Amino acid sequence: MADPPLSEVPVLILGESHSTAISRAIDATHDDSLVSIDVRIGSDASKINFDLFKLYNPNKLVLAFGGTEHNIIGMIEGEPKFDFLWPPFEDFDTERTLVPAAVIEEVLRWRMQSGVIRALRVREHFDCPAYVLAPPPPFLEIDGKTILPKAFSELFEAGIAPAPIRRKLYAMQCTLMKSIYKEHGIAFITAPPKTRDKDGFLHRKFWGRDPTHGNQHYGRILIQHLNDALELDAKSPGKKANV
Amino acid sequence: MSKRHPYVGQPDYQFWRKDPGLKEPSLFDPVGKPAFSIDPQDKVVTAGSCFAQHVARYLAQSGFNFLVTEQPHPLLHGQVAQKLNYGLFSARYGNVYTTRMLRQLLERAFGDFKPIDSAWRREDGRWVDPFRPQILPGGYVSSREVKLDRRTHFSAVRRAVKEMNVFVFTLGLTETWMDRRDGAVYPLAPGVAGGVYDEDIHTFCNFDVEEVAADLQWSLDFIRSLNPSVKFIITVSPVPLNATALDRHVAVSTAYSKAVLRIAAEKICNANDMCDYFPSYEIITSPITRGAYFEEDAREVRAEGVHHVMSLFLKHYAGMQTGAGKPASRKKANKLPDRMEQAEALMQALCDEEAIDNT
Repeated sequence: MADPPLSEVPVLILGESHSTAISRAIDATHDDSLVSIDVRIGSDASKINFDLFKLYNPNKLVLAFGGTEHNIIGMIEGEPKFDFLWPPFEDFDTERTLVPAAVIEEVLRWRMQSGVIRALRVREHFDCPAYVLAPPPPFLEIDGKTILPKAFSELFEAGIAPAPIRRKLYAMQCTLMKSIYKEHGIAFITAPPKTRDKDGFLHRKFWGRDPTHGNQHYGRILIQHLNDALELDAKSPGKKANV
Repeated sequence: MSKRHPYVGQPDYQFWRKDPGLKEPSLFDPVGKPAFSIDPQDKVVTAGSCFAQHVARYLAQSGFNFLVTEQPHPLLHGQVAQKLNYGLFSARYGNVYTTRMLRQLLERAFGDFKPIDSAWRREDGRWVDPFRPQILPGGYVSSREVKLDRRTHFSAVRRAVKEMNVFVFTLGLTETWMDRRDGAVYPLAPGVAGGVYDEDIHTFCNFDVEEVAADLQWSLDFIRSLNPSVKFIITVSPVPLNATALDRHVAVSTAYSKAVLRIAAEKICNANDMCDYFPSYEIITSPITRGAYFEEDAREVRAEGVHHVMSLFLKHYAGMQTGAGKPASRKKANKLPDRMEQAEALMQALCDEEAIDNT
């Protein structure tokens, strides 16, 4: 019996939890130029369901694996409370223990490696140009509508780390992602500038109860941003705005 | 009735031909009677050349209370901490090759010396601490970060000095690079792992016996002024120089350097109470062990050699019998038992000197 024909799509987005916001936005807008699939088997992030995307033949592949590592490291306060320097941010709380940025980089890199491996395993299945998507920017502060992920609930008593520290961790993760994926020929796409406030935090309207993932509104803005970035990249590779 | 000659009745270890190591090198034991012992609860601090790292690891693994006052933040996973050189030194001072470096480390940590040059830029844009340029492989993101982390470091050095019961210092080099303006000495020449070499500012120094001994004596006096009951063990690294800045063969410079360090160690140990010389240099380099404790590069010390040194250390200072390493023949050297493979993996010592090359 012959294999079923491959489904041609302009953009295929494969990932884990961060691809959900895009899927919801696609469902809401009926945009058929993109297909977004959460490739996890259940909620097990360590396994990939390759059957979910084997029949797609995209022009462009966008990867959205991992992305919460900066929150795992720094969303909940640790003991001793730490801070670090990460240019261009100038802030540093001298009451906190300094952890050199290079140390945080190593920890973050170590945390990120499993997501990178999964992304590269998926990438192997496609010949088209590939991109990796930045996770949503950090939130400024939680409020009454916030529900923290179960994984953090027991730790919540320690409190949430100050926003400036979380912003630096996010910036560091983006820098590392750009560098790691570049080695594999995968271009990095930033989070949409429109979703950030003047200080770089995710506007409250772009997340719902869970502060670590964008909502459907975020997904809509992200799709527009993604289309713009990919179009620009196609027109002038090497001069990639937001890529 | 007087003896026929002064050597009559002297112990066998005073006679070369009677050393059991001649027949079985693993039995070579040149360690004399120590002035003190080390109890399991004694806090031991180590510093010195890269050979000191072997001492530190062995002590930690042998149940000694190896005092580490500069611990990694709990964020760090064990392997990551190891990769970033945490736990390798009592405080993260890196290799302290010369006694001048030891003296200046103490002076800097206690606020008595503030060098003009406090941060060096690397080619990749990151920064290093000129006095421990390879302690953080990823480098610092700014000179400000170098200074902030140094504050933490100095606090850890002060704590180590005040809390330790035993200080093991391994003398490594006589050659060093100095800032002419204030006399600050560096473990690596500017330009090797950061910074810019400037002939008008930086000068080469090769310390003599008097200088090495004076700096070591000053350091021991300073430590005892804060911690009067501390005991000292002085050793000389058996590792030859990786490179010499003098226009002569590196082997000649090595011989000079080791001779100076050995004599300085002797002088200081003779002049101070509770200050022992431990012959790690002799155990590794003596003809009795026939050079078998050196790796193929004839410089690095093989795991068996470190084991021999440290088993004698444990035997004489802690009454522990671990058995000296049997120097393997060159052929056997390529196939180590599992225990040695593990020990080798554990003893991958950071060595700043490795960064020096003539290219």
